[in-house]
Amino acid sequence: MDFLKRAFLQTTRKKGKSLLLFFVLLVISTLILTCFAIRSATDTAALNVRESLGGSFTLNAKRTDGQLTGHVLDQIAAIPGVEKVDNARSESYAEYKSTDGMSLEVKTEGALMGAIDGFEHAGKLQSNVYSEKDEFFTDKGFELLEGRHITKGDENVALIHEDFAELNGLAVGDTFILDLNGQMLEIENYESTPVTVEVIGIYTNTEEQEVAENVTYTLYENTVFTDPTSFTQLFDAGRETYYSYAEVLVNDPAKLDSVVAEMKTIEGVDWDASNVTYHDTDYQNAKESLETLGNLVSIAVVIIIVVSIVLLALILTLWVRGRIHETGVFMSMGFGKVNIFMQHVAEIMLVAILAFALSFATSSIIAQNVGNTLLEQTTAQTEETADTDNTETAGTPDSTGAVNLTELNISISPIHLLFVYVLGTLIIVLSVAIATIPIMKMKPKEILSSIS
Amino acid sequence: MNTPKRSLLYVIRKRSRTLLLFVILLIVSTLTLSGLSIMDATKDTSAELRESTGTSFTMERNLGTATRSNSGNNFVYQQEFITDEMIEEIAKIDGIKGYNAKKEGLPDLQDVNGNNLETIVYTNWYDDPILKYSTKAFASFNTSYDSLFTSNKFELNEGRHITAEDENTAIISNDLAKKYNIKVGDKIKFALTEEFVAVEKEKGTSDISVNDVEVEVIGIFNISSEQSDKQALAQYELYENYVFTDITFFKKLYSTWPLGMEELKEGYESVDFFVTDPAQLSSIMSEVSNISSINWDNFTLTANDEVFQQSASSMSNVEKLITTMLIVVVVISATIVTLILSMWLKSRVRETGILMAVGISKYKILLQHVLEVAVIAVFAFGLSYFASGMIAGNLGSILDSSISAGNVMVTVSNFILVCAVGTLILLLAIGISSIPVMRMKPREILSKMS
Repeated sequence: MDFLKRAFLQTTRKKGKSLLLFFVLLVISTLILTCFAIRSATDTAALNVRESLGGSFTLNAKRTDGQLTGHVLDQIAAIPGVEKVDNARSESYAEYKSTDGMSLEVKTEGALMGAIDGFEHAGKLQSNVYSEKDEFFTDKGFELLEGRHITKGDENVALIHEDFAELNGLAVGDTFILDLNGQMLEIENYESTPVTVEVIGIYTNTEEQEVAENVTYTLYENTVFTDPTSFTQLFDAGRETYYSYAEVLVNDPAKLDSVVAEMKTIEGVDWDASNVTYHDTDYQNAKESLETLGNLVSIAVVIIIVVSIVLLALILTLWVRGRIHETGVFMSMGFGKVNIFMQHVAEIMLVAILAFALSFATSSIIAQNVGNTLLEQTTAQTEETADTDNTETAGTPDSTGAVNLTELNISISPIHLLFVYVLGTLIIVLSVAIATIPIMKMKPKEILSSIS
Repeated sequence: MNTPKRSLLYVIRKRSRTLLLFVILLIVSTLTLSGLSIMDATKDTSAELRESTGTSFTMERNLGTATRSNSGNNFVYQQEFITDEMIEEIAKIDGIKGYNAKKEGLPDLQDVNGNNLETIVYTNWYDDPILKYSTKAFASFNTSYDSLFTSNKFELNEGRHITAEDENTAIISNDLAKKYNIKVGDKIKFALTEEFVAVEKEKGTSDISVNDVEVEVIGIFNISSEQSDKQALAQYELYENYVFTDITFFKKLYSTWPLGMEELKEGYESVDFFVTDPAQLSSIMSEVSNISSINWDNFTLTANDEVFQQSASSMSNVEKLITTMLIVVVVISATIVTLILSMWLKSRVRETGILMAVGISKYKILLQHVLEVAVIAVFAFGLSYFASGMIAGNLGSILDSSISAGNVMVTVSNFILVCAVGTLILLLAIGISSIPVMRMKPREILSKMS
């Protein structure tokens, strides 16, 4: 009778004992598999928390002399982890003229002092791909009264304040000139490249300007919005359209540093002269607690695995030691030590294979139940309604206004399955070895006489 | 030989079996106890995570129900202000951890000896004797809840925040501190200067006189967010010239200017109240709106919980997952103990048969088994208290130093829970696995054995 047959007979005859061992193995492997599945799901859930908290940075390339072109923004948008590049814009000041070259009037009341030299007919000039995303419209209460917003592809257009329109008799459809002068730029003999723009919209401010003591050219009433092409033409005719600022939104705020580091490898931009401001306050506030939660899970999993290993080893040792009598009989009958050892291993493996196989099913059921009944599979809604992409060329217009969360999946992965099977088998072989070695060292006579 | 003696002899004679059961019980109870401790730590940390969203609600004067009167081109709204009494009443409610309201003023900066100090200059366009020394001062209850700090625009990098108990204290910018070599603990003065008073008098204010108040600098902040349009701002509008002080200081400073004082006395336009647990926000707000001493027609309450709303479901998922994992651990531990005990008792069928045959009652045999396990369990449970404490603490410090050993703590109540439930499981396991053996006659048992 070979050891396999003996093992099979022992397992089938002693049904109660086999069943007990089966349950112990099943329960322990289910425990470990379930823990692994939940651990991976916890990582995803933590990622979801980070994603819903959001993170972005403002890229300020004002001092790079027009290096932040649409082409560069495209490259930034292509960096893995970047959700989108948004609200690319520039800001400066410009002098306003009518189409026949006459200076236009700007509002002067409410300003702290008279006009500064060169700025007598000037105001703030904002350049936007999508003017509705400008901070003035999103945060400072500007509202469009007439006409439409500046959008992608617009050239030679402008939005003006209703007071400015009234003061100069401008209406939607009229044109005027954006210009610069040497005094403004502090350059002698400056030759300007004026740009003619068409008024496509008129706005008003619904909130009082907070800073009451302004110079004339920062007054809300004297602010003009234009498209990036006109802006570029005005400041540096013939150049590729550029931006001074852009918002870069990332999926996972924990990756802000790596995204910025990768961005700085893009060539053609003097990154030393540009400036990055992080907007990740919510993540920074939550960071420590989130990391602690992650560590708690790690602690739990480590404890569970160690305890499971020790427990299994103990039970198996107990199991084999209960068979000293039998071992002695076999040895006295002349069976080889390896043969007896193999029988023990085979007996346990017969049961273990079934238990391990079933543990995949049981842990999957547990995991699925946890997923279905416990978790809230919702996407966080944000107030954002704009669904347009805001750079001229970068990205695709795909944002739906909801934070795209990673799907929370609790499943048993093949790697974990393999881990449990290999580790389980290893523990079985080692435990049997440890338990049988002292017995094997004895003479059959000693064994039989040592049994009480 | 009585039952306890038999149990004790069994436990002592079968040393290796005893040791094995002891080790198994120790391991399982340690696992369970560590699991429960981690579960507690998870709950605390999740609460911290929710709290980190900085959820608050704002009480504001309701201009919708205000009386509106025309004065020239401007509308003047007449509405009740939020008073100190109202704030105190609301702050008493459970779950509100703090509040902030502020008043603004533009006092001039002076050294302790009363010499005017020029504030930070960005452009020289404002070479105005009145504005040169002015700062923008905020009288605040609790600067740690000020939006400039909560939004991380400013960061306190030395000293401490101003609280409601502080009197005559100030937090100034790093730039201002550097310019005049001011350190935390130093004294400076804020004043209604002669020049300022002269200008006000020229404008027609008759009852105003020069005043100054000494304050202690208790904190210095860093500006971490660049201000836009700096060149267009008045000197006091620069972040560098922002100063945070307390309400008492304001009342002292403006005591010589009845008009300013009146504004201070009337109360606040709006107050932000911060809650500990954002999940409780709506119930706290409804409790607030039930305070009868406040006329709620005159005020509005707005929740500021966008951040929490966005991340609430993901946050609760993290917590639920960890809790579930630990519940699985506890349940499975209990199952393992039951299985092992059954194994243990099954191997003693022969002994049971012999004992029954010599006329010892079933009840006594059961008692013997219970006593044997009890003796072992008492030691195992006791030791598990210390073992789990060590494991939780050590693993915490190995994995990450930010979790102090005190964070994952084995509490006495958890220990009692494990002991009680553990004892119950042991009793049940012994009971259930004894039933088949006990039902048999001694002869059946002995003949059944191979």
